[in-house]
Amino acid sequence: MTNLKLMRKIGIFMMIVFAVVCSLGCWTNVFAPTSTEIADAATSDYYANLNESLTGAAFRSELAKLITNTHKYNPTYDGLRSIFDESDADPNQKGNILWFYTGTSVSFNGSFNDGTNREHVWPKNNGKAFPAESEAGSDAHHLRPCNSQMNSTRSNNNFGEVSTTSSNIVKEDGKTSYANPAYQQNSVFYPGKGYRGATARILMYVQTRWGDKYSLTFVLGQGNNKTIGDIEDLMKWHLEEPPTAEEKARNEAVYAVQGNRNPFIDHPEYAEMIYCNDGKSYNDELQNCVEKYGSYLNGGQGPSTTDPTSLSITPSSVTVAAGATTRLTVSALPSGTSNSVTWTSSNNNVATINNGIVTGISAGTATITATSTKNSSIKATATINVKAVSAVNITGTPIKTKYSAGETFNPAGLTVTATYTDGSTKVIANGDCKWLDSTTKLTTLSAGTTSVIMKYGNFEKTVSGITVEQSTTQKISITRDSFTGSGSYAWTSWSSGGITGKAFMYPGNSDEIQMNGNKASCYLFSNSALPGGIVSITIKTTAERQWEVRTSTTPFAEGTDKTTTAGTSRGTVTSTPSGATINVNTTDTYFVLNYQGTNAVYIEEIIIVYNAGGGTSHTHTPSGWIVDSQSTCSVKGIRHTECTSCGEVLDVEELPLASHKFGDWTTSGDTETRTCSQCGHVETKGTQGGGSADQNKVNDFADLVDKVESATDAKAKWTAISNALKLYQQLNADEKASVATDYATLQAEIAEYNNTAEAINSESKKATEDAIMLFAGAFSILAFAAYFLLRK
Amino acid sequence: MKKIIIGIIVVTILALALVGCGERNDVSYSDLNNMVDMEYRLVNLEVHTTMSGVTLVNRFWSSSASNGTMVTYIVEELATFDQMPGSDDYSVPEKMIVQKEGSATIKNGVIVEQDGHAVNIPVDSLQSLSVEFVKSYFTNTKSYFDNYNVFEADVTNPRAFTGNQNFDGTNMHVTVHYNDKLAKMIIDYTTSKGATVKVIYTFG
Repeated sequence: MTNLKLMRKIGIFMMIVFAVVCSLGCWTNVFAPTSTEIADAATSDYYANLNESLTGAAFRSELAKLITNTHKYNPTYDGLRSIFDESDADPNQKGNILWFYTGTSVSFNGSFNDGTNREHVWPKNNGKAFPAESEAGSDAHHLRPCNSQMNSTRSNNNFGEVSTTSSNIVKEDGKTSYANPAYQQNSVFYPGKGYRGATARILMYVQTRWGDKYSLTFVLGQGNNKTIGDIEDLMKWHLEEPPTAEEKARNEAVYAVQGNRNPFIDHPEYAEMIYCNDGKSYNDELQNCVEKYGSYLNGGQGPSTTDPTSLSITPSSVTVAAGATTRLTVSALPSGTSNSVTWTSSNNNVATINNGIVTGISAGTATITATSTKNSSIKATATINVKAVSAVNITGTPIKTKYSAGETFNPAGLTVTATYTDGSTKVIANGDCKWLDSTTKLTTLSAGTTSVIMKYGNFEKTVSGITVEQSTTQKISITRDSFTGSGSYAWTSWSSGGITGKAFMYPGNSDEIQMNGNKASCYLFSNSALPGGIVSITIKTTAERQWEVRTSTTPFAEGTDKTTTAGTSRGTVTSTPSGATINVNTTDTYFVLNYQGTNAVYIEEIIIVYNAGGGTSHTHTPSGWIVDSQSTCSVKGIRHTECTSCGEVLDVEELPLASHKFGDWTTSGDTETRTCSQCGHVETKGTQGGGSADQNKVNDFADLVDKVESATDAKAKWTAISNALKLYQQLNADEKASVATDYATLQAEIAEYNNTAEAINSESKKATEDAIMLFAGAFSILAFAAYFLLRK
Repeated sequence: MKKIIIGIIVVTILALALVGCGERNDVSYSDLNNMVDMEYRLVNLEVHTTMSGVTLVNRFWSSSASNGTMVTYIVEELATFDQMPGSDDYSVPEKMIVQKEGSATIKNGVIVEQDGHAVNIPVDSLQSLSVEFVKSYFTNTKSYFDNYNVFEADVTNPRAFTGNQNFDGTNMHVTVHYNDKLAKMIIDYTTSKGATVKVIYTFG
């Protein structure tokens, strides 16, 4: 059939459909609520039957039922054009709509081929997450009109905060100069201001409305298909940008069509009720987020962006032994304002302070002051009592008593109590003590050691009853040098220490093992045995990235899927620049690392520790985590894993402290206090003065700037500038004032480096443009694409 | 400015003509012109630019797709230290060299699918290739066999070869690998700003 005949047939068909639909009346209102129902929607009636005393998954389930059961009509994908006309109309310009993510006002005549198209805020990913053009894929609370180019660039990327530099601006309709830019970096998309909270609330709606049917969940970091992140950034945006009038009006407009509402616009507090308490791994992070940026519960309005009006220090009073240290934490009010401070001590002969760490010097009392760097009149103090210790006593039994050479002692299970010369006592946090091999006096244990020395201040105590065996493990290190190969992304072999494997990586990067979650495959595996079984895997990457670790008794192999489900999952780990370790402790001899992200990852090193085989007569089978004691707001809990066969403790770790449950602030004179109802901990806030700089940091910064000036090539210059800037960002206001001259020098060097970088980029671009034009005739496809790919 | 190096093919053809008889890889100018005009299913391009001790590599791969031809690319750029708005501080890039990756499927000169960094491609068609041969543009020619027939030459007048009077490359050298069709072509030169460029075309 020719195109013309086909078009005629389609046209006739559409005319018939149109006639039928028109005879039924305005189809967008067939299932719409009555005007009475609309008027009641924003009141408590719509939500009247919800049990708001529930939280977490239970409350979400109730809410999901409500917005599902009232969802009487779901538009067709094509029908969204008429909905957007009203729901996304520019109130200031008739005939225009507002593009999502940026708010740019554009003319809209219902066409999705004229610069505007339908953006699935939760990526449909070609139908892998949910149907692309129906159900969740055409829900008007979900889809928004968006510039086609913006839509394409954002693609399936996750949401998060990125650097708001000009180079990261996402083009909208070919421009980077529009009023409210969106940004993208490393496949993370950052909407324009005013649309971040709205993005979060749309995703929360999608997860609540469609999450059960399509297994949609939030994650920290990056998600893929049915998962999306970063939920911590999304919650922050939801708190920082309350629902706008535009959102509320849109909620009404879509409600009039579909019959259901986005509850997170009507009740923003529902977000924290659900997602801080639904038993997921992100709960703690989201709770911290709410505490930092402000809760919507109890009528809260969310965060303030103003400077702090007061500070408080925790603990407000502490006893520390001479020679010992303890940490102070400063909080700012209102929540969400800056807690950046400079620390000072009233008497450095009694106690010193450095970045919140107090060191006891000699017996006496000193006042530590935290002064806001935003407003030097805002201060808080804490009293430090330095006491001489007359005795230190250790009670309890360490949970872990068997070690391999090279490990460090874990004091969990022991309680250290200091007795002071005034007769008072105090339980010392294990982290405030040092635990050393009694033979070598090092923190790492050596084979044959049977005891450790606890040092607190000038006191030492010996703890016996441990065994440290010769390490029976070996390790291999996998780096970029372990790989051979060239070209584009492909399965590439690696070899290290006689062990071999493959990864789907980019050999063109000669510095790191480069993989990418947007490629056909993104995993690294071994295909020769690590004899004796795998003990642990450490991954070092240039930035934090998430991995799933799996092991098997048979070799892994390359495949065509993104990740492999072969073998047994050993859990997930978030790799870091300093290295993150997952203890596997399995008899399995093969491993695979499934990259969980959707963007590029640069692996510096992978360290695999495995049993050498024959060193021990027993290979441990690790249990899951066993909680020995739950945390309170003042005492950290403990959990451990053990071998299910022999019972030996394999790993022990402390649990984070629970949050204090403070009551209201009470005022007495110039002092305000509040008390934790769980542990009785008291916080105070007040004023006093001071300020000082750490001369070591000042000197270090000057040295780094010297290195910048003396660097002779671009790479050395870049490295030196990066190191200097990272240190500068850690300086307090006084320190920054001390290094002002050096910083001016650094700024000049940065300007010169940037000019050089731009010049090199320009030369590279020109050379490439020149090169691709060579075969413009015969190889026009490559020339077309390549030439204009570089046009920015 | 943008009209560039069409006459590079002249290097290949003319230099081969200069090789003379007696070499096993002798080929006529017309044979080489035919090779240039052949349809190549795959064309990969690498451009290495080195300046101030830094090398940026831009790579493009073409391959057949069910709905056209897919061009995959990885383009490198040096990251800069950008000042944060309202602050005297700077953001520190994660890496010195950042990569922009993407792919575009092209059919009939139009992008039908795109992934990664956005592409702005005009629909205009380009002119057919036309060349002229001038033997005085070359010197130090070599012909030999090394898995392929190889031709090398220094280009003494790059502007004339390119037909672009604004081309600013100097110290140009070309190497062509071929058998019954082109296998690889490497062009080296130095830009007016002192950058050294190596362009590698691989034909499939």
